Amino acid sequence: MILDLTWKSLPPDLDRSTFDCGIDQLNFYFRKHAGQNHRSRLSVCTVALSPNESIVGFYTLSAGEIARASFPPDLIKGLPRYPVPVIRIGQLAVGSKYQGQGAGKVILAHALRTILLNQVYSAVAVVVDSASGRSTEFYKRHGFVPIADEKPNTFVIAIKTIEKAFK
Amino acid sequence: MTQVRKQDNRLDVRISEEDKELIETAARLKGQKMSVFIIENMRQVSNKIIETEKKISLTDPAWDKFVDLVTNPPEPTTSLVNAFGKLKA
Repeated sequence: MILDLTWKSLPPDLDRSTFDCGIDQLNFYFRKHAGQNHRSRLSVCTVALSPNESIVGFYTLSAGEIARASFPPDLIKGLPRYPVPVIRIGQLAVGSKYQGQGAGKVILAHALRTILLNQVYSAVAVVVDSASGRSTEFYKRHGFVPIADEKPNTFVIAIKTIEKAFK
Repeated sequence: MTQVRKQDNRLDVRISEEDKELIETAARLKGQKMSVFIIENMRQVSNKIIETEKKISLTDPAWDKFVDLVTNPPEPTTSLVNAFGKLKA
């Protein structure tokens, strides 16, 4: 692998002001909000650093849930009453100068492994919002499927599918 | 949204002249008082953020598809298996 990455829970003193992944919305989030959300534990941010401590990319995880809009009383196929817990990958981005070197898939794999090894919060699936057409292709390639016709940018993968890939 | 709510809290924020003029112009175009314009729009944005951050609500067909996905999990794609391989490498 070209990239030799180290992983850190977002360090408070890390300079995020020049991070650029090519998508304004993600840049803005990472520069302005990731720190506060991380400190308050609203979402937890992990950064991937290169050997010279520059930011290769990052991802954020948070707890979420999926519910049925209508509420029939019975249990369905062994699942508990809704809503059911999921983990959300809120943001995942690779800095522009590291794109095209396979960093995205390694960061995704790290996020999914973190979720699998998490022993505290239960989750039946992982949900991610795709920020661009390119990232949509990326998630599809890794087995994420659209969660609903009316939510074309939201993708989901079953935890059990991730487990099989991890073995 | 024309719900009547008791409005006895204050929110003080500092704002640049440019931003204030921008918001005033937009509110005027909508024919709304600036305070109403700000509250309505911020409520919308806030709800949207909370919604996308936490709870996903699915229609019955989408819910059924989701239940099927987690009870009959598909085999992982080669790309996903390879991605884990790269991580371990």
